[in-house]
Amino acid sequence: MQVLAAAQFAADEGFNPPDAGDFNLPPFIEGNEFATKPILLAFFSVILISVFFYLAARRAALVPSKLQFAGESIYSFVRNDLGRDVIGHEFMRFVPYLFTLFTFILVNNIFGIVPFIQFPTMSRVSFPYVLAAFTFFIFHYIGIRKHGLFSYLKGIMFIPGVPKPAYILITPLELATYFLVRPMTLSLRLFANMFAGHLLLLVFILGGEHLLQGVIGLKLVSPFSFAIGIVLTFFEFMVQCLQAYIFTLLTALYIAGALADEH
Amino acid sequence: MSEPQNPRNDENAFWTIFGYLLSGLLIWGGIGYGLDQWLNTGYFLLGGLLLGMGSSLYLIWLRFGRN
Repeated sequence: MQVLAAAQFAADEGFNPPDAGDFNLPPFIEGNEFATKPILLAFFSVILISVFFYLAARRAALVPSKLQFAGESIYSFVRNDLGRDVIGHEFMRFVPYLFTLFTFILVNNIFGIVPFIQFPTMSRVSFPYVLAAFTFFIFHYIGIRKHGLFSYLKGIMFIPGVPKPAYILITPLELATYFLVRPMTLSLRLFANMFAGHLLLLVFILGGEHLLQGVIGLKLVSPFSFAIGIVLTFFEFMVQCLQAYIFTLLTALYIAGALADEH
Repeated sequence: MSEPQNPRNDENAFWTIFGYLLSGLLIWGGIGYGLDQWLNTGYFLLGGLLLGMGSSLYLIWLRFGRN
């Protein structure tokens, strides 16, 4: 059976479906494992964001230019919708972090559909891991500094108004949620969305290209594959913005939770 | 913990509930699995998963259903 399948595969000089290997880009400087596309893109995004907001804020005027307006819209979105509304009166301290997080993730996600770049940095899992680790340490640090280590942990482990034996059941869950599930879901959600989205685009666009090389009947089908690829590109844009938003929103919510008076 | 009231409480609730369900299954299922390995039995995993499911539902009710 396997031999048959292999023979058939060899016979139609098969279409290689994209897989996880497509994310494993070799370094472009021989032997230097840090010179890879995702790392370069991460640095590029930092430069891009810095230059954009520097230009947007340079000639700040009462009647804003288009650039200033764009920059201020993004800033005030993060500041008001993610900072003030979620965290409350102490929000200003955290706006720089939230803003950095949001713009960094957003730009790196959108790299996935920018022509000639077309690789979402966050589809390499280490990047979301590091970002989630930042959030993890920040919200625990804030909670411990505000409440003290002991009462912070007590607040996590024992919610009030529960019969004592029930703590045996639910305290492990609370601990696991705060120390395991939160950072894992935060990073893996971002990673998986970017990974799957990129794979999806690869399937339809490379598939369309492959169909184009087939017999006439397949050539006729090819435009549909490209059309779906284009529709999915717009869909991906939506997902990319949404994931940047969710990551930042959950960070803000965790910070708000660590700051809350009664746990 | 009382989360501050804000328009995005729904999203927060969704991910909190998801997290509780996940950790309930992982923790108590994991303990059951460990007991099974240790004692060479086969029913602690099932018991642990059910217990985990039950306690996460209880915890969700405590957090979101009480008031």
